[in-house]
Amino acid sequence: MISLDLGLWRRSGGTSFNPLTLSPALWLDAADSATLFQSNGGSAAGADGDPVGYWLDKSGNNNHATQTSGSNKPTLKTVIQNSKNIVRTNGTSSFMTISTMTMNAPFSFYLVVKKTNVSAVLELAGNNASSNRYLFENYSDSKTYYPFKNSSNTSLNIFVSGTMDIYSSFVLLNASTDGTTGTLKRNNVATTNTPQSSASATNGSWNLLFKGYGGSFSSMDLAETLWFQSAHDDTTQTLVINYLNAKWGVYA
Amino acid sequence: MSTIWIHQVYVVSEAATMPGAIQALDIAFPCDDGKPRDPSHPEYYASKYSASGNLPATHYGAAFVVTEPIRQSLESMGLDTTPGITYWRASNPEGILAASSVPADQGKVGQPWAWEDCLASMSLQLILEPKPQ
Repeated sequence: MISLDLGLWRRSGGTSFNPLTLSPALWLDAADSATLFQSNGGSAAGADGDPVGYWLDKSGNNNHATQTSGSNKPTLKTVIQNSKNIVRTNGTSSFMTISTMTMNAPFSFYLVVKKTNVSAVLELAGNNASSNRYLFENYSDSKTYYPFKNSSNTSLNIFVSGTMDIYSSFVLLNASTDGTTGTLKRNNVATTNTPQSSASATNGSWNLLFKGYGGSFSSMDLAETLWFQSAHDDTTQTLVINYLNAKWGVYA
Repeated sequence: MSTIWIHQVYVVSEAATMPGAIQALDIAFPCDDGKPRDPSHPEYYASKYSASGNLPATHYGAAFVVTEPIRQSLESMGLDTTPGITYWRASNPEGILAASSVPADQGKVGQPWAWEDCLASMSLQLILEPKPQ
């Protein structure tokens, strides 16, 4: 009876599911006010417009996001999506880093995010160096690339949009790869972007930045992100997607 | 609860003056860990702009929130009057323009203000770089 109840909760997108049961590598949750601080050891970031310099990782792996420079900190914005707070980068100078988070294939990630304009060359994740590893990128060709790059920085785009993807409202993006092929979904629908059949996954240590290639900066609202050191099948993806969607009210 | 970070500062710096702007920011607005930043890589601290939207960058831009003491420190150092640096200040989080070093924008004090207004004032466009091969 207990397991039946859990199943019903999960299928209905109820909130009883705890991501920790899937052992995430990284879990950043802007709705959890206890995880956001103006600096490491400093005051809580709780008021609308407060700078965010330290964002605690709820996975237990200490992959906390940090920004020590006051002129580069993103800001907290309150009551933005489903009455919950988010962290906003301004597209000009704000970003955070997660130093040396090792993510080798297979892995999966989930994002609840809104890109507030097209200003960023690249939107999330990368180390701004020769060994960049990015999640999605916008370039001057007006297309959006969703690449998994390998440790030698070989360009291995597994999804490329026909036009630049702009999200005027929050979307729930998730991807999973076994190291050979991958899937990318937007609001629980497989993307119609072009998959590259033989793409390799990104391996190695991540210096996760909400920042772009060559010094371009992301302009986006980040609500929550979960990363897992495993490939997720459709059933598991749906479990996490339902949890995030029930919480953030991304799509009907 | 209200924030004590009541000012939003926008800075556009000519490329040649960006190292000096970074240095001034670090003095008036030091990092939490006390470590200096590297002024030889201005692209790490601001986004790149030009009139055409193409490389090379002629200007760098940054936006950030500050407290009233930090505002006083920045302005006492002359960040708002330094040649090559253009400066706007708005309220945070409301985003209402309070001051600018651009004479034409001073008449817009009291109006909503955002980063896009700074770029329009300067006739600058963000540089979208070509995809690396």
